[in-house]
Amino acid sequence: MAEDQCVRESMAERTSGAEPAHGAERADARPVSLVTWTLATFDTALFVLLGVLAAHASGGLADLLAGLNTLVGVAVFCYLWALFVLAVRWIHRRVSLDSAGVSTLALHGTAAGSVAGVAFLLGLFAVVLVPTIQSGGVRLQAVLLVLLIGAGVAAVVGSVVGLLASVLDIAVYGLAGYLLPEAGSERVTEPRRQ
Amino acid sequence: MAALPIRTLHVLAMAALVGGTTVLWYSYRNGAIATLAPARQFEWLFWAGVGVLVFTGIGNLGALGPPGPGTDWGQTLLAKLAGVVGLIGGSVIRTLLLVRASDRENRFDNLSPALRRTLSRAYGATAAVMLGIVVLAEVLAHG
Repeated sequence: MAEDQCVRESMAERTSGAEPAHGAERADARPVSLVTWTLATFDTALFVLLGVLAAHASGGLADLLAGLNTLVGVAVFCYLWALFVLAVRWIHRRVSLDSAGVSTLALHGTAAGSVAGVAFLLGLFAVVLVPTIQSGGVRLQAVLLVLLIGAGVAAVVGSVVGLLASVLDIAVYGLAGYLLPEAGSERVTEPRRQ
Repeated sequence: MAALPIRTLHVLAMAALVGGTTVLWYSYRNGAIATLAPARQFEWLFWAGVGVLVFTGIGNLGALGPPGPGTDWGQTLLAKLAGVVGLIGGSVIRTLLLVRASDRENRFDNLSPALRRTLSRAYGATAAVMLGIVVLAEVLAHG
């Protein structure tokens, strides 16, 4: 009897194209959940757009973009996007947006942001400086010194970005819950449409 | 060399997002869709499209060499960028609302009228803002 019910539900699900209702089941099916994908892309896009807006408002956007090759820009953006996805996934695997406190999420966001900041810098260094070092154009000691200082700065900047992004993520998640209509209230009260 | 493919990708991504949100707005509005599954599938595409739009948009700007914010063109660009920030801010709330609704709703039940109305409004507002951004893009491209 119960088995029949399962078969019927399975067939109904296939024919309707509906997904299982539980977030955990969906999260298992894909490497990242829809919430992770959404918030990571939102954070990345907002981070980049606010930078572009600030650069444009200050009149420095043309100079900034003039020195940037299009394909390099695309690669840098995709690398940044991937880092945001990994950072947000790391946070969501450890703390739940539903139940965790703001301070816990903010702390995880800060930690993930600082690691992502250093990883971003190391990625850029690897692409820009390794060929230069190999050709003997720069001394290795100088590069290591710059890398050390740069890693410190990147960790601080990344932690601030991570903190702000996690607070913003919590805020929009809470706002979405606030705007969600009450469950089933209108199914009983609203008259049926003709 | 890369400017044309980047511009093409930008236009295609925008067309996909405007088309998808308009279809979902209309479908939830007239009850053609009674589940959350199609919208959930679309949201994956939507955010991928947002990422593509941002990097191709900046690629376009790099190719054009934007004038300063004091010019008419610069003011229009400022308005477009502000519109895009507003779009992604509103869209993240819409997507999370959908996720929270699908975690709560019974999978074999029809959507409540209130939720369907909320989704219809959310997709309608998204489509309207995106059409506004398209108009600003037209102004930037053709004056």
